[in-house]
Amino acid sequence: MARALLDSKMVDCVIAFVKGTGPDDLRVAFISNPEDAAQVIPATLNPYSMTRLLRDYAEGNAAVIGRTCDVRAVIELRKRNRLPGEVYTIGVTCSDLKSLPGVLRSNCQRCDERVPVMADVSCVLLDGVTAVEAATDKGTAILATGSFVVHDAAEDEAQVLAAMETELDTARNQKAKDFKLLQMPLSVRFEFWFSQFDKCIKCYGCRTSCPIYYCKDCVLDADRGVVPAGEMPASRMYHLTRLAHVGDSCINCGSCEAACPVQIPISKLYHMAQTELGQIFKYRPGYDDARMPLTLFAAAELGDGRIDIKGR
Amino acid sequence: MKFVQTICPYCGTGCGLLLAVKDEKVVGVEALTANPVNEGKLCIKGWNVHEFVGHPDRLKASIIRKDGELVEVSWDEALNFTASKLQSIIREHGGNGTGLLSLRKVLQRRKLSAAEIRASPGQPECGPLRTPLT
Amino acid sequence: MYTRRRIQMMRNLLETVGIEPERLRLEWASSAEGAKFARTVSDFTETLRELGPSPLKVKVS
Repeated sequence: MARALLDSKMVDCVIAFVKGTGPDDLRVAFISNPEDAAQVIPATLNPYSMTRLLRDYAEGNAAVIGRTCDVRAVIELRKRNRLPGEVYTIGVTCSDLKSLPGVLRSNCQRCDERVPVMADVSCVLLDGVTAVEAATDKGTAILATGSFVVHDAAEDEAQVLAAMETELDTARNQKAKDFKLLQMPLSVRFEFWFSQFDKCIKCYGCRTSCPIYYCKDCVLDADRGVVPAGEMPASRMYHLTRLAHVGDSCINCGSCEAACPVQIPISKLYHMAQTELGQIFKYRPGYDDARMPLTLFAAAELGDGRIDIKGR
Repeated sequence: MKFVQTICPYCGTGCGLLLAVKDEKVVGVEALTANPVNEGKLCIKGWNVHEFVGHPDRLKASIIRKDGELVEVSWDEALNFTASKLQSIIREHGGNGTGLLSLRKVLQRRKLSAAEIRASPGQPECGPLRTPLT
Repeated sequence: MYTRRRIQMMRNLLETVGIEPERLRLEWASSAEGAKFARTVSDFTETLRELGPSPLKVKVS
């Protein structure tokens, strides 16, 4: 499929996983030569967000062959006008996750959104055959570029989802466990999170690797005053600010936690925050064109000064 | 657009990273997940390695201050100059009073006979304080 | 217009990390409502006094 996309000149480059130098080394590559398209591996275990690399380095039209989190990130960046050109998403279902239960990253363990239904084209491995389904007009255009046999997707999808139920159930249980902190008393939560924040060495890796982070001139830069330069342990404002700016749209890709040298469970915090806020504002980031909740207001909300945070 | 694997030039830890290269210019940095030293994590200096590679202020040759002016010199002249200065300091203050701060990676690879101080752009790099020079 | 949502979000985030959401309050008062403003500030000061110093001021052991 990568080859067809490049050959037909629909895109200037395809961003996908290829093999690196070691046996487990997966890297993201920007493939612009149709000859190189054969190197693409539809794998899902590398921690870094492909979409973030797309945002930082790509030019022109591109296609991303990635996981659900990569696809959701593309949709979120599209809303924020941060895509370099037309971006086509080919989602791969995270089916190799079940082979490594112990090694899985913590955010993948609690992810119950492993089928990329929101991608232009979604691919699922079924009995050795890759079933593809186009979910949007762009997806149909992609499938038209090559000779792909399109299966009856609806039936296949149901089959896949059924097979995945046990996996998804495990994931949901894990999520409930991870989010237990939300039930703890305030002081316990405070102790936990702020002792984690105090480990921070201000490498800014979490910010750099976040696909949702999109500001060219970030308020957290050292010369802006919010996070004073040279202060250690890092000002807690760094984490609180980032949470306020990005927390409503966290897609649980886990890049932040993967980048943290002191292992602060950042992804857990942000995912928790997004889950809560998602319920309050009825918003799911990365699925459709719905605007971010803070850019909207409902007429009913005007004129009433009372706020009820339990109002769901 | 390609990603070139290399090791971070700053401290002695040697984290693996991928340089993002576009049109033969280094435009960014990604952490290398497969490297066992850093496992995909970098410190702030590592994340910004790309900034100094093409920076206009970067030192590209040895320079010595002569008559108040910074003058470009050859490596030989620079090394001889540094060695002779170090030797006179040792003569005056004794070996126990002298130490050399340098990158661990540099010291491990070269014998500490001449004064080999890496020309790093802007910031002096500190490695472990070595044993006294004699 | 967006304030209500922002405050709602902030209170939720504060609660998620363990800071009392009561420390954040939103009141609407126009420049002509001097008395209401003064009353709100006194009220809120009292609330904060009862809550005690912010946990952020206390070093985490």
